[in-house]
Amino acid sequence: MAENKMGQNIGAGAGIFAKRVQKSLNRAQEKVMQKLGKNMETKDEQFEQYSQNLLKQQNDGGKLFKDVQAYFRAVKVMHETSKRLSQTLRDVYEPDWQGGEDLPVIMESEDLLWNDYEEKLTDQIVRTMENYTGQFHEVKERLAKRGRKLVDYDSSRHHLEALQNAKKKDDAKITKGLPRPCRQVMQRGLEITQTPRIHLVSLSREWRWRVTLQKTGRCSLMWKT
Amino acid sequence: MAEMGMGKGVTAGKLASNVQKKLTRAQEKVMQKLGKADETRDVAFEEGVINFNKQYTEGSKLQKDLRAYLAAVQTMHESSKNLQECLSDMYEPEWYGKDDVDSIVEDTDVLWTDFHQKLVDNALISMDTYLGQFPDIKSRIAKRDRKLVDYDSARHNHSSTNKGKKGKDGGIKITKPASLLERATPIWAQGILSAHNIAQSNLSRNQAEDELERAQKVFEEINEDLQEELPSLWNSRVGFYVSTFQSMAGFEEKFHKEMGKVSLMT
Repeated sequence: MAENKMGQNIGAGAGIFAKRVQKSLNRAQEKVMQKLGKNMETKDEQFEQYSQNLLKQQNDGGKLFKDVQAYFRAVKVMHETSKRLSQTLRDVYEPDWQGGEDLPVIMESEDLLWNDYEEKLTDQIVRTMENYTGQFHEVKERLAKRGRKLVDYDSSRHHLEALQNAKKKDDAKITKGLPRPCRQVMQRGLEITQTPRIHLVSLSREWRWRVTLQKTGRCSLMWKT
Repeated sequence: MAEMGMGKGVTAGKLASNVQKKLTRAQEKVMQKLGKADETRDVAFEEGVINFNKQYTEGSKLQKDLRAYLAAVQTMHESSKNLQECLSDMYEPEWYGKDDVDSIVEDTDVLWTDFHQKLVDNALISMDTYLGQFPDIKSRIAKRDRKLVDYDSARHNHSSTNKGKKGKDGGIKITKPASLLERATPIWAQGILSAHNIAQSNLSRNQAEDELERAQKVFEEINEDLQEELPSLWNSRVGFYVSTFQSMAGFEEKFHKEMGKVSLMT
């Protein structure tokens, strides 16, 4: 456990950083392999569908929210201009003309109506839309995390397969192979993808291996979840 | 003016006469301010002008506010349309009430367009027409003022030439060189000289009289026209306001009522 040997403070920080870098590298490597077709990707059609729906929902929601905001602004402007027009009319209205007393009353009730409308719009629609569109961010984050963990899973799967194949060839020569833990990892990985939610937080233990193949050279496999 | 040639000569002549007019008017105004010459005042007319300016200002403000209101109506129409179309797009075909949603979108669009159009055709256009008559009258009022100054100036000129008749000299317009000429003239020619002087003064007096008549005529013509038009314009404002804004209120009422009905359809 080389990392444990490092110092608590700076050493620990550097250790975390190194872990992250290693993670990103592994994932990038796995993805490249997948793109090149050398490795199989775990595909989940159903989940892809969900993902696409989510995207569509987010886009629709965003557009709707934008339109609602524009509408609300237009309502405010109309309120303003209507009020100003009424005010000018009131100024023009000469004192000796009939009905002058009614004007202020009319103007006030109109103003109240507009304010009421704006308030309702704000409370019921604008706020609601804000909350609705706000939830997408979190879900998308989790979706992305799932994607990353999937890549990790695939990556470890392939490594394991490679090792097992090699193991079959050099069965006799491997003295320090650890097949059981490998299979455990495989089992664990399967469990991961079968749960729709991402519970990988529970797998926060560090697993590390080194498997050396005498004939084919050194191949170190470092596993972390 | 007529003596000068065509083309440049005519323009030069006009320019010269304009300059002359301005100078005379400026001179007359200075005299009036100094109190040496009296102004023709018409209190009633001045009141009319005050009313006119007030009416013009009010009308312009109303026009500005009305235009802003119409722009807001247009904006609201558009944003409402966008919002409804967005909803309509999102409304999936298998959901209940898809047809209703579509028809609501259409109906509200028609109502908004109708409302805006009515406002433009009635309120805005009649407002523009009403205000269109003001600039012309304003310039005529200014012209009347100028002609008034001309008239006063001609009046004073005339009265001073008439006063000059009672003076010792033949005419006040005789300048120094003439007096030199007087002195230089031999005795036998003095008679001729004085006859010439008298003729000169008569000429200038006649000129002043003609000018006075002309100025008076011009002024009175424009003055009488305006004296009729200003009060009638002032009185027309009531009718205009009533008809325009009453019809506008009617459109609004109808619009909101119809909109309410559309929403109830759901």
